[in-house]
Amino acid sequence: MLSQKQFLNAYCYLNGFDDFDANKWNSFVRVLRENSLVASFYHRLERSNQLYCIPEYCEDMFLSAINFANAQVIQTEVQGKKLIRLFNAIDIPFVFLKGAAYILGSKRNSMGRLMTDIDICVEKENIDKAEEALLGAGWSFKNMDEHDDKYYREWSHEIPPLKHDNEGVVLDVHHTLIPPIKGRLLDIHALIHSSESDSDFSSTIPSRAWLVLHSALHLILNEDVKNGLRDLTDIFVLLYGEGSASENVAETEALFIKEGFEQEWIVLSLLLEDFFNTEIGSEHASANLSLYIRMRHFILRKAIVPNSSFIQSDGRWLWDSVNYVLGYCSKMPLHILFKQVTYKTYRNLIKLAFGEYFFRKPKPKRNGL
Amino acid sequence: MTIAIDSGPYTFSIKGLSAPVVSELSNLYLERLTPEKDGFYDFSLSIENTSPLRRFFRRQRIISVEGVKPFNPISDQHLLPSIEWAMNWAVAAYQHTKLSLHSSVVVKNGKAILFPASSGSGKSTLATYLGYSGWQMFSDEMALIDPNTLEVSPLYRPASLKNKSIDVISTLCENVNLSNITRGTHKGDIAHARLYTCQQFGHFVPSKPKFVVFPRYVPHKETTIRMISSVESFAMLLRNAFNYNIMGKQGFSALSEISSSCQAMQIEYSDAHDLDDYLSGLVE
Amino acid sequence: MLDSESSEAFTVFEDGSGIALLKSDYSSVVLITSAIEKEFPTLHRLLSSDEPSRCKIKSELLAQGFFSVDYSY
Repeated sequence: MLSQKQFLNAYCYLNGFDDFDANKWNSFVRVLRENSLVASFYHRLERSNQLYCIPEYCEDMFLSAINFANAQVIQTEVQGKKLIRLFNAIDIPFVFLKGAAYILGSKRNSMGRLMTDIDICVEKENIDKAEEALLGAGWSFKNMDEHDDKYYREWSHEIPPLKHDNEGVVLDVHHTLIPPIKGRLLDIHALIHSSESDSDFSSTIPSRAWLVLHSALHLILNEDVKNGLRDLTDIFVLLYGEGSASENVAETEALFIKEGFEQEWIVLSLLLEDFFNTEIGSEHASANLSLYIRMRHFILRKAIVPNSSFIQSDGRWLWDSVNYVLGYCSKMPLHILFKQVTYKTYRNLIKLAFGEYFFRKPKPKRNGL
Repeated sequence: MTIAIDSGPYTFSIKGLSAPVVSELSNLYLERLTPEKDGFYDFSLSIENTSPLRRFFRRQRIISVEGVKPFNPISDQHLLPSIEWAMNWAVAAYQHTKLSLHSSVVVKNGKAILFPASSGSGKSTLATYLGYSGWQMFSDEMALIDPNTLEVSPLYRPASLKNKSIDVISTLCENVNLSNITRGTHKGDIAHARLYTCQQFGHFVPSKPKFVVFPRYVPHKETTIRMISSVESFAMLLRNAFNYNIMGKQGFSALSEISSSCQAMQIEYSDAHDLDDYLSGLVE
Repeated sequence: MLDSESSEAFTVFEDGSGIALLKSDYSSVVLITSAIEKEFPTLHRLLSSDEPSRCKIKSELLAQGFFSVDYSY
């Protein structure tokens, strides 16, 4: 088992491997694997010319992850081209978000980056047309219960996730980056027309600043930070991994402020300072910060560290629970929050009594494993 | 209890086992099963409870593989085959430096025969019988092929027998080491057969495939062989390749080479002994 | 044999039974010589010749769109 400090020293600072014996390497790669960080960590280590740190007994694990990630790049490019052709045919501008955007925009943090689905964003007035086109092109809605379907359509105002019948790819179509909250609407038109990429997918990749904003809002305003360290790493590499860091930071900070997320920028700065020792957090460290900022920063700093049996925990369940509540509170009106909490509480009580997998649908019988 | 299993190319750490299950696994893995000690393991599994109440009432367990829970919960009685399936899943899901095929593999005179086929085809039964009868059974379930050398790796894993094949092997293979039968799994009744001691397994060396055989058991059928072309062989191997789409050009190249260099055939049979004679003749 | 340098990967099996090709999305197409005479006569003729020309086969595969990931076979 690793202490939190040992894990973060190795993962964030790429340091401390001299003290790693086989047991520590075992714990470290277990955490990486649980959080789909094996391949991306390998590339970060490669960029810092430290691949020699990886012992021979771990090499196969890293190479396997690299092969998997490379195959995902291929699949993403193929799907990306198909989606561009589809949306061009119906004249709907859109952008890719998160993992797909990083890969198709050839961003440095795309190297080894895994994802479970493709995210795109269209403007609100185009969402119905987008849905119709996708359903006509072999996409269908993933199975979900009535509550979740209602959650997507009525609360999130987006269509539920789609899956391609032949190709098994999952697609999330958004028309905003966060659920609409009074006074906090993003300029999606600006997002969709912000592209600065020169890759083959140029017009469909948001600017670096928008990519960071989206990832940060996902991290800070979400109730679930299971991928929090991955998201924070994405942001760190986007800002500091290529181009001029000072320009990247300045442009991104300007966007956060313009879109009304100055507090979230401060939280993000503090987190980047905590985990990656950047300097942008230092100017806020001594400032008179609001309770909201201090609370979010404190909780996220605890909750972002991966929850793993291979890392010593300090009441981890508590931080996850608090973050869960704060995350919901920050993005939902009270009446929706009440309904959601009631529903989730009911389900959790049932799972407590009858097992975590009470609601899991039985898998169909199939050949193979 | 936490144990370690050394299957040859890969090591597994498995946490959360009860003493009876460890005892059953020990019978199958012998000295290759040890109490877990500090060190690096290729794959990590843990057996967990699904809820506090279900620890005491209608006890239910769930297997976590590297933090992922790919299978539905199971009762304690179904743990042994579920652990074996979870170990297979771990290799198929995370191992991508070798091409993995859904296939049995047997070797004689340094020549490997692949039996690619889906579950229920009888490949495990056939491989177990051959392994008992003088062949080296490298695996009853998964062929791991080095894409550079095309050598198949031997795996120290028990053969998994289902339903009628348990009786077939018990009859054909006198005194074979069989585990207890686990009844009522989603695949029916399951038992596991250990064919070799660790010392015997120590003589297994990675071997190149020379033949690809697609077997089909047909009651009362005289052994009938149909040679198949390279392209048909490729198509059928493709159908049974787990990580082909991840291995990309390497996987394509390996399958092409195997299809080109190995004689492929479909065999319908009812007499395993007769089939054994035929296959032994191929590898002389 | 496989031409590992080319971005279009395909194998012409020496027993004349057909070809397999790898598309850019890592899916594969398998063509059996005896089964394609009617639909792809040129390709069939090329594969059936005594010494199939990889260059000509590749041109025909490209012309027929076999490497295109949009085409399902």
